[in-house]
Amino acid sequence: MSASIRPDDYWRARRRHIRTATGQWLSGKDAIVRGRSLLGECMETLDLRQLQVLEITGRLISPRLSEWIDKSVFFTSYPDPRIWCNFLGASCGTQATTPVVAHAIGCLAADSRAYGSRAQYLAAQTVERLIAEEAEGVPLEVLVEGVPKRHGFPSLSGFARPLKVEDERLGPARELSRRLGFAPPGPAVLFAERLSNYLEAQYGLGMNVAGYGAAFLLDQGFTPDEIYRISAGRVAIGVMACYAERFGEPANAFLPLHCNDIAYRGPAARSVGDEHPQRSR
Amino acid sequence: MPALPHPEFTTRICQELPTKSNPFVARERRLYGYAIDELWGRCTLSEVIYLMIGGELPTRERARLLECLMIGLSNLGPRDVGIRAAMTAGISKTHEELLLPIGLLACGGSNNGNTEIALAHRYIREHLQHDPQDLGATTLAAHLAPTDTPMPGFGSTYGSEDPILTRLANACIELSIDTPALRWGQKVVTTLAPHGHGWRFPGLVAAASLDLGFGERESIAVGQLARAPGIAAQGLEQLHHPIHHSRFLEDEHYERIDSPG
Repeated sequence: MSASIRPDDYWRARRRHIRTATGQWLSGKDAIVRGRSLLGECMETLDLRQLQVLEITGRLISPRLSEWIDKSVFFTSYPDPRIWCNFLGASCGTQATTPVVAHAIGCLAADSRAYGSRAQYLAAQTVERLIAEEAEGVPLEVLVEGVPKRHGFPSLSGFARPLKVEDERLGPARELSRRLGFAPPGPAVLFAERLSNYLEAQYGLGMNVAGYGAAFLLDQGFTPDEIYRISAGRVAIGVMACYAERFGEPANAFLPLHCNDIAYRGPAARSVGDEHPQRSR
Repeated sequence: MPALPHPEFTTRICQELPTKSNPFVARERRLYGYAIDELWGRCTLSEVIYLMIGGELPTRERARLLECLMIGLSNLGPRDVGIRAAMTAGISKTHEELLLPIGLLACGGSNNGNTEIALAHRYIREHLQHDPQDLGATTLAAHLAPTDTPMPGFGSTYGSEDPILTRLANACIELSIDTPALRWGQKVVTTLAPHGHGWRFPGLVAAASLDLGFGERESIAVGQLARAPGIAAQGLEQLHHPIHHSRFLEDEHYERIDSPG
């Protein structure tokens, strides 16, 4: 390291200094979003989803893509309090937390590799990686063979749904794409469909809407990270519905449990007493 | 009253025994078999934390190690990302019950955050049998930029070694001879320190957790529990200050790059 360079130079340049491309609040006048007037141009010409994607990615998307992303939120807005994130919303309701807490906790819970925003992110990563590897000449069956197995089945986010319970959202998702003019399907969706068909034949597993949605958004030029950022909080509507219904109920009113409804599998009753060897030192 | 046909959850940690008159109300609660009444009468908090994470009460040596670690990390300073988040929320009058969870979540993540604790746990576990010199650390260190992370859990703190974390690691090591991961980490730090790198929070928590016998995921909880007191206290303190004590950075220090999408 040269003597003229201090080890903290990187941080010194950032102390009391912000450099940003996102925009700026102009106190008493306006706010700038990616170089555009928020209260002028954006307000007059954009819908909410276009504004969201513009702020997050810097990219102005078309109204029909905005509608596709908007409508895809329907797929994660089931107001059924048995679904994990919604259960937390209902619990927040009986607990009388603020609605913001219910929203946040539900969205945090859905940041899960099994479902929700993280599952879609992982599906996008998977599709992107497998497409790249296939382009290098690796056959699909070899790609699938190389995927880690869970209980004997390939662990592929977005493509591990047992076919005996078909994802009821796939048909409407494909129809949504067709109706909005996203036809024929792009290369990522075609790959995802081919992968799904192969998994169905070999393992009885199929694609779910997270896999389809991830592939669709990859075809629209988004990266997996951008897909994650756009998808964050998609379960909030169902969570809030469950919260609102339970708000004001007595404490513990939602699905209360007897002590014995939890199965204890730990050590039998014991004492901290001197016979416990760990405590004798 | 029969139990549910399929239990809601199974657990090895906590057993609740109902009262005779009301199956919803617990008359007794046991943690890994120990009555909570006995634990509150005879154990320290760090012993009970160890019990809940590890499944057994700790030896006195391990209890002291956990306590030392948790005291050492209990307040990482007002510039720590978690504490600063709680302070920012506090002074902007966020609901008081949210300050601790906000701070704990803000210091998550894989870049010096709680997720990196698990990554460091795995890295140290897999390399514990290797001499740090064999890892090429010396060569590596000479070419490190201040912003680089040479390996999970280790790196620079604003371009330098963090001397407090190094002292805390030493203090933990002095409490127990059974600290192979912490000792391994100290050797790594000896190699890295002349080049401005050393322990980072995730590495120290991961190494100590390994020496305490905790798993990869459990080590994340150790880090969160350790830093919680400072986050809570410093966030709450700011609630008592007027909001105008926190001033926005002036426009002349704000550099906007416009490139319409």
